[in-house]
Amino acid sequence: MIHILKHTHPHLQSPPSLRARVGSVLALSLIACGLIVTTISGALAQEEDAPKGIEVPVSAQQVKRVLIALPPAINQGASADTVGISERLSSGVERALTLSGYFDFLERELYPQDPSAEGMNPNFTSWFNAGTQGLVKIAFDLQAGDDVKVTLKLFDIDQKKPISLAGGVDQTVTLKRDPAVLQAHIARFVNQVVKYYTGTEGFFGTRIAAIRKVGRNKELVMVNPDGSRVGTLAKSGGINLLPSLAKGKIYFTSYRDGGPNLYLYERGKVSRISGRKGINMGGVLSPSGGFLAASLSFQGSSEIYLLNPKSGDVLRRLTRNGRIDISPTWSPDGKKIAFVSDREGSPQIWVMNSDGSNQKRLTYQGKYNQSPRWSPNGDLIVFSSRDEKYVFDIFTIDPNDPSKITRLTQNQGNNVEPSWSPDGRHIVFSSTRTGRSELYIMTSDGFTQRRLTNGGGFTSPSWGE
Amino acid sequence: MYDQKPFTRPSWLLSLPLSLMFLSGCGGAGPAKSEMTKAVSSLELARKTRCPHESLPIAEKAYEDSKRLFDEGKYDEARAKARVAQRLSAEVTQSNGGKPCEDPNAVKSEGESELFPPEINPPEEVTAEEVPEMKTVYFAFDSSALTPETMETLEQNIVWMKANEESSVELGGHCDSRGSSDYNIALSERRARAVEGYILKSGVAPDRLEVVAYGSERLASQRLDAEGHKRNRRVEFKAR
Repeated sequence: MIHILKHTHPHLQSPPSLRARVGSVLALSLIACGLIVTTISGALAQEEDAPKGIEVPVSAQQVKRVLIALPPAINQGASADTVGISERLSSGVERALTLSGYFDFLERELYPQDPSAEGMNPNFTSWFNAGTQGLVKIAFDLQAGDDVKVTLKLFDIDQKKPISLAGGVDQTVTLKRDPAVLQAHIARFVNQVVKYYTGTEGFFGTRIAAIRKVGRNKELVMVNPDGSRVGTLAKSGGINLLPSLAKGKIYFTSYRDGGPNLYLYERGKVSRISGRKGINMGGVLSPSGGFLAASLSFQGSSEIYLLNPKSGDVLRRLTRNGRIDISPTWSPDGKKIAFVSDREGSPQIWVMNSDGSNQKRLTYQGKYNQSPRWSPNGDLIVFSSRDEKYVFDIFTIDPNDPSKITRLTQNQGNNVEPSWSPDGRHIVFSSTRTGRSELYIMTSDGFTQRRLTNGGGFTSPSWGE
Repeated sequence: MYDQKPFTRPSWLLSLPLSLMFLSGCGGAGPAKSEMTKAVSSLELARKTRCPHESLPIAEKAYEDSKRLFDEGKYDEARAKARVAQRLSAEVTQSNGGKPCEDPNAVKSEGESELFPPEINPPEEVTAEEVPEMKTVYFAFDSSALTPETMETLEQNIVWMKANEESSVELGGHCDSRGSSDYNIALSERRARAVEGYILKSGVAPDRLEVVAYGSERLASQRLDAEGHKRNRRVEFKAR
């Protein structure tokens, strides 16, 4: 008998618009997310022996979201906007607020009449009656040459007052009209809007290393979490895999000279860290930066070792059995390592001390659990698992209480290779929900999921500072 | 509880031999018999060494299986089993450097070793031109187990390797596209190593074989259905 959890995530299709509506949709979603389980008897048609998948419903929402109004940018100057600055600023702010995961947008038809007429001094009562909680106003003034004066301003409608954000990001600034310059300013502003509402700055300014398939090759790329820029690093014309970004270094696996071998990309240079016989892959730097955990098979089967992060010398062998031991991920205090082992017959998440002692199996649900990543605050391990419908989805498990498993994705293609944002509030992952493999960012409860990349072929994200 | 049994016993029994005949393939009795004869000789040599080797009872069982399969008309499987018995017997025979285990006076002499030649199965009497190309072998989901069909193909590939002794061979392990890339690399290596282990038992020199774990990076089929996945779970042989 195979259990199918049947429902769709309501907010993935249509974000709510009004505060009142948010409440009702949330109430519905909490019921739907937690409780509806449909049981279907019989086996799915699969040619291989069908392992029973992981059976966990999608979790309820934990992260608070704020309703924001974002009226069109106001041209405060005499020059007509013939270069599309208005659209660039408005769409840039909307996209950044959307990706941050904490905001919904008030529907435009609910705005007060002609919001431009009030300029940068909003009528708080009108906006309050429209139902919004926050208001972001954008103004610009095209200058001679390539400059533009830009003002981004946050108003707390509930409290009926303008907000002064840290770092002066809401002061009027003169910027070049370069899209990258404008985007960088927007990112700084939205980071502070996020901080105002959540207490912690947003994730813009961090980086995501990933792999992009280009033709027959897989290249190492860097993506900004606002999706603004994609750059190819260490172009090799071959297969590159499994990047791990930390402390300005990217360890990655490549077939560029045989392999698979382990490499380090740092400041534009690539050096080989381990090219031993067999497999050399998946290097992950310890939180202190003193050790590199990696999977090597030069002594037989793939085992986890601690290496010198610069020389690649073996410092310690951590696992010792004839089966597969891979995918190490460090606890934030560096005392433990979670990893994947199939020593008991199927790939499962295990945990050990970082000296290799006390190896214990963590996951017992599901027959195919992979790609663990320990959260930056240590309370969760995110991983991907093949579920009861033979589809890969993303789950979290509490390493201190393995009975606490939370499902983050469902009914949206294959969702794999999760990686935490440095502050642990978001997860980037790879999904095939549009038919192509793209990177998505979701809040750590899975409630808000936004597509980051466009163009297809993106996999293996690793989110770092 | 069933109100009615889904099958009655007689029809079940009748259908079995029919399906076995269907599964047995179209291999003839002759080649199977020939391999079984070789298996008998190999086993005899292995027994003579009196070496307490774990592979001997398995070889004995493989031979018994081959006899049973032959009697059932499953000649392809019988031939594969007979070859397995030969390989394992050879392993036992060579386990003490080709010398009997219970002979304290065994001398490392050329003459002595002729009694227990390292290559028990004489090379097939074929030239390189006549030997068919090496074939890819396939695996079940998340498995590196060698099935009788896999062993049969490996035996043919071994014939090629012995007829082309100047060639080294890359054993490229592969997986289907599902699952994480690192697990797939490790699994593909395990598949290739299982194949390597089998080939080494035939006496092919270890330095002629190179295992490369490609994971799911070089798919043979881009199809995402069961048939596509099946074609991707494989070990490929590339002569160099």
